[in-house]
Amino acid sequence: MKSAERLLLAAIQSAGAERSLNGVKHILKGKRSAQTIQDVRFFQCERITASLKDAPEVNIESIVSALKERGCIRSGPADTHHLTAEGVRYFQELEDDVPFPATYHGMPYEWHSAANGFWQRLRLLIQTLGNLQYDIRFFQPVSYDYTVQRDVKTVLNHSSYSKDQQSRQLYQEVESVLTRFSDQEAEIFVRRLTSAFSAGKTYTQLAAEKGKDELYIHFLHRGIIHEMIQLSAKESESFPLLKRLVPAIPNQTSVTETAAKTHEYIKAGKMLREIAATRGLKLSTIEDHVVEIALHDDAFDPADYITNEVITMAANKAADLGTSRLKTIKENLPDGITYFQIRLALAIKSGRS
Amino acid sequence: MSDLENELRRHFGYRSFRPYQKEVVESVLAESDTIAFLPTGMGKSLCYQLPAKLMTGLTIVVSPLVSLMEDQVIQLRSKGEKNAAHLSSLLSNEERRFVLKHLNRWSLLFVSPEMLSQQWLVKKLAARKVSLFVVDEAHCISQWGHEFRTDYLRLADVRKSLGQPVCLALTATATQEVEEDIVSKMHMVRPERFRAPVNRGNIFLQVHTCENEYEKQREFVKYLQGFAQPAICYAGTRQDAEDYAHLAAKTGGLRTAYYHGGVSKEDRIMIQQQFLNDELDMICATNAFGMGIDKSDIRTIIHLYLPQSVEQYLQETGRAGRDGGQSAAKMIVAGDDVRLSLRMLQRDLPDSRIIASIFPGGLYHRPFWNETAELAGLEDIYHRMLHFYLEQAGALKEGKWDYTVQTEEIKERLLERFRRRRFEKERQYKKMQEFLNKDTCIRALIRDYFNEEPESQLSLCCNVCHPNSQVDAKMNAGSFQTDSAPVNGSGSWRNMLQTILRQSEET
Ligand SMILES: [Zn+2]
Repeated sequence: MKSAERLLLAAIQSAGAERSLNGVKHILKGKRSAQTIQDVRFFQCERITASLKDAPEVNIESIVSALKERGCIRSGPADTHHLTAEGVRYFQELEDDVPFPATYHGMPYEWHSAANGFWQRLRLLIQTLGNLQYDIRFFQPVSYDYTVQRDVKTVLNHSSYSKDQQSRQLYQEVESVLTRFSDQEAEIFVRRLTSAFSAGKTYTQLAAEKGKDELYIHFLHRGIIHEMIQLSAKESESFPLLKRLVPAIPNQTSVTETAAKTHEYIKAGKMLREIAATRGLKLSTIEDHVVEIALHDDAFDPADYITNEVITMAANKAADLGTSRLKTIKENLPDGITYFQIRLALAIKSGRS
Repeated sequence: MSDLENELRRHFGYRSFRPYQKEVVESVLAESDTIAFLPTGMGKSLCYQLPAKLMTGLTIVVSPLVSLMEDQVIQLRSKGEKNAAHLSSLLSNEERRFVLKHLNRWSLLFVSPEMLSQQWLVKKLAARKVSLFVVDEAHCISQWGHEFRTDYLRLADVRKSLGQPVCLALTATATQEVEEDIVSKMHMVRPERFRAPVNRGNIFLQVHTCENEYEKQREFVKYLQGFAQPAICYAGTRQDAEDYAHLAAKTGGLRTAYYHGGVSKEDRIMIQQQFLNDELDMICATNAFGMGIDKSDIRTIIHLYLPQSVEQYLQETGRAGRDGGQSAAKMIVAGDDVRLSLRMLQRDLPDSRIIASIFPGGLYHRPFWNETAELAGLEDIYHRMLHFYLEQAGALKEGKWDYTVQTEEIKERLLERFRRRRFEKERQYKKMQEFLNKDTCIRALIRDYFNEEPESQLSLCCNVCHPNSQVDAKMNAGSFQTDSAPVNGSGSWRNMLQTILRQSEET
């Protein structure tokens, strides 16, 4: 609960005054949309981005109303929020009580689920080597995911070292990362692992033991994972095994499958309305796709939807007003310019800067 | 030892069959359509796993419980079986492609009914010789069954497309009405029938009704004194599962965990493994838990809610005492629980307001089905159910409404169908409520419901016959779990990590 409150206060402090609660939610959940990517850049909240994507479930609405009740935040127009003086004080208090790990970085490691992929591979590798070390050949794997199993198998088989040597190497690599953390943090990490003797403890169980909340344990754990990935990239010769557990990350510039489909129709010369009807989707959804495409694809020609003049006008207005709040921008532009056009203009400017 | 027993030993390492298994396997191998009623824990899965080894073609198993299929495949793989796979929504696209690309490799393939409703897949499967078509949880095919699924109605057609292979229908519990429905809906020809009695003599049945939630918690805490472990405790809501897990840990000093749909998959797998490893004394769960659990020494099942049917009650209590040891099923419910179950049961089907809103003239009606469903905010289960019926009735064609048919008439028929189905569910629920009457032997009620013969007198029947008894930890001395060894070693985290990877001190 406290960690969720701390996270929400941080997110609202960065983006809440200009974005609706939904917009804030999308940042924390790592929604793969053009708007969210733009927001993350604009508000510079990369650290907490996507922090709730692969995390224990958090009911954001109930946390927000609890914060309101405490007088920590106040709501503004269009479901925006800002911190009160009490909110700033409480935020400080939470920073001491449930600090956010210094090594945690959401955008690079959570957005594409790299951290989760790495962790799944690491825990399966440890479980497998751990069982083999005790001559147990058949056991129930901790991950059912086929790609995880395949990748771990590849690591195990394509090595000139014996299983015993691999175990030693893995021990040394994990141990040397954990040494950089406090004993308590390292202990949480180790007790989460599945071995030949024990299934390990869940976040919930560890949280109950430590008298902390589940999300706190999760972030602490992920902070260690992020450090492992970062070290294995920076000092790759010292972490040959960990390095091989980092999952391949999809091309940063790729758009969602559904937007790509819309792009195909556009290339075939279809109007947005036609595409919406053919695909049985709302027009606004198709417009979202166009914004997404514009953000990712420099070669995309928006001429059918917006003139260069409007692009410049909208982008300049956003810069002048120091906001990316669509409603404010629209109010300060000539009539007839749609929200869709403003979003498109901002996407084009931010994608190509 | 007979040939079949040799095969059993060769492939699975068991020395002998459990009751009915051999008869079912023989019947299937003799290419007879077969319907078998085996209570949970009687080794249903062996009835197709062994034939899959011995028949030349492919064995397809249809089950509505996708996570259970996945568990089974993982378990088979972890025992070295390489020819089993599953196709369901739980697979990523890549995994699905892999399973389909190597179709010839599998001898045992689990498929979800949703997947089988796709024509291209059926065509692909039909290219292989299919020897056995297994319908697991076959009661789902019947309107009279307690968890009817529309996707199951397509299975007879699928079987036909696959060249009418031998059909094996399996279910834990079913009344005779349901039995006849399965036979006719699956077009089974003079099937062999096997029916194990549903009454399990080694489970002491207790029902305790309370005035209110407070009293319920007190009774729960009281029951935990000296009760037999390990236990599964079924709760009506996620919140209850969490609260009672906490209560049992705090007042009973038990090692507990909660398990429900809101728990991440990663944690669900861990909790299952903890339970199997005897690292937990009690799991508090919504009814999502237990189906795939292969643990024979569960001693107690606690119900904190009223199951929706006698079938469901037996399925859940049947997870206790598969090893034959004395076990217990204790139900503790308050008046609110009776109402809660009724509400949930009514929510299983869309009400007339929803139906009216999606048909032409309704508030959410749109030319495309997907748009209609989205506007109406249909839950996934309603979406699939209505899509199936509307397509079957001809009101939907390729995802669009067909305005050339009499939609008004179709709407009336649909409303009538749901009305009958709701009535049937309520009837089943009333049967379950009779358990709360306190004056009739619970086993007698169950026997009556399934038309079974009375068995011999039990020393521990139910709390009506034996009001002052309790199954306690001492009854199964020997199998009782003492404190487990220190897990993952002890001492510092370094020592633990060394133990896990078997490293010595000096490294
Ligand atoms: Zn009795």
